[in-house]
Amino acid sequence: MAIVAEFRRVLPEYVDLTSATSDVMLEVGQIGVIRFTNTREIALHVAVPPDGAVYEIVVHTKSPGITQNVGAAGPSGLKPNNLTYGSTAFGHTQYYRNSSSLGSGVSDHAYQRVASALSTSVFLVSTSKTLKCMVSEGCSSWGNATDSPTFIRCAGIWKDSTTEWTSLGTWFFDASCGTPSGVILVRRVR
Amino acid sequence: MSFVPYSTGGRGDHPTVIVDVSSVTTPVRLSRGQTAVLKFRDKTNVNVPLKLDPDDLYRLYLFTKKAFSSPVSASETILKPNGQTYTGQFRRRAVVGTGSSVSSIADTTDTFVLGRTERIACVFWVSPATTNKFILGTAASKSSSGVYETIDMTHVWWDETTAWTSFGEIVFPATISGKLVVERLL
Repeated sequence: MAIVAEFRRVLPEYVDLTSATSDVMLEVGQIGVIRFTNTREIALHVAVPPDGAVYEIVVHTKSPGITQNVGAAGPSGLKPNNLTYGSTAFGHTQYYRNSSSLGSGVSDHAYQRVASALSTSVFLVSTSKTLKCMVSEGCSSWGNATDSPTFIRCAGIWKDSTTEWTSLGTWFFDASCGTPSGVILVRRVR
Repeated sequence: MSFVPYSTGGRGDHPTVIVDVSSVTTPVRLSRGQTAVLKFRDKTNVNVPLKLDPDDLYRLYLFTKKAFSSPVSASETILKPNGQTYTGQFRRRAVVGTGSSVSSIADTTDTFVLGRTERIACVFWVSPATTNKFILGTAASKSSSGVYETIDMTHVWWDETTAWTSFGEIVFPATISGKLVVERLL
């Protein structure tokens, strides 16, 4: 069973990137740790190899979300190469369950949308030039006070097949998240 | 692939990577990167002897096994954090897929719910952060009607003050055997 084969025989190596000022190339199996405090924009400082790689990313906030009414939720996500692109450069599809209904949606963005006003999200990213995509393992979102919490699962694709993904990029939170604090884990899978 | 109960292949200050806690009675604290394994046989409840800290993050795997043709219970497998129930404090949002349809759940419970019967395979991220306590992941259960379901969900402990200090107790609705794996990521 594949999931069992993943269990390690050696301790994973953690690389603290919190204070990094330039991109660092993670080795396969290494886990980059980026802690953030009271900010909505977090540069990951992870260099992407020329032939592409696969990363598992965990964005985990610890800011109170229950007593804080986050208001209307806008997108949170990843800006590859620390840039935004054209408004339809990235396609995004999702299904979700909030307090009132099961729903789904499709949308285009200038960045890789992952979630709304999230509390925690886990997703895989492939950076291969000809197929740059994101697959969510799950997202727990505060949404807004009425809907909270919301479960979201989604996938996204960078429609362009010629642009090189050289820096994993910058994670950003929607303004409705306030000024969150927490940690981001980046594990290089391949 | 079978587990090696104790590995000596690690590095740093914690050479034991996989720790067998099946017979542990005093709660232990995993080091970052360590994995605990707990095997159980013919149980209706399992105490998970792990101490938690608010800065931790875990991935939990639970696999139960039972003869394929034997009936299953119509009740849920639950996780009682700190070994307790907290009336109405857990909000679940789930998407349920079966062979013929997709449905969903939005409800309030007294504990975390890991699966819809005792026969489950599940993977959950587990956060004990006091201000953001939840499990997030996917479970597959064999239902009482005999079909298998997949459930994607987040289950949030709707409380920002209570500390989650002990992993807690898993309670099954019927006697079952299986294996629990808990990996500390942070």
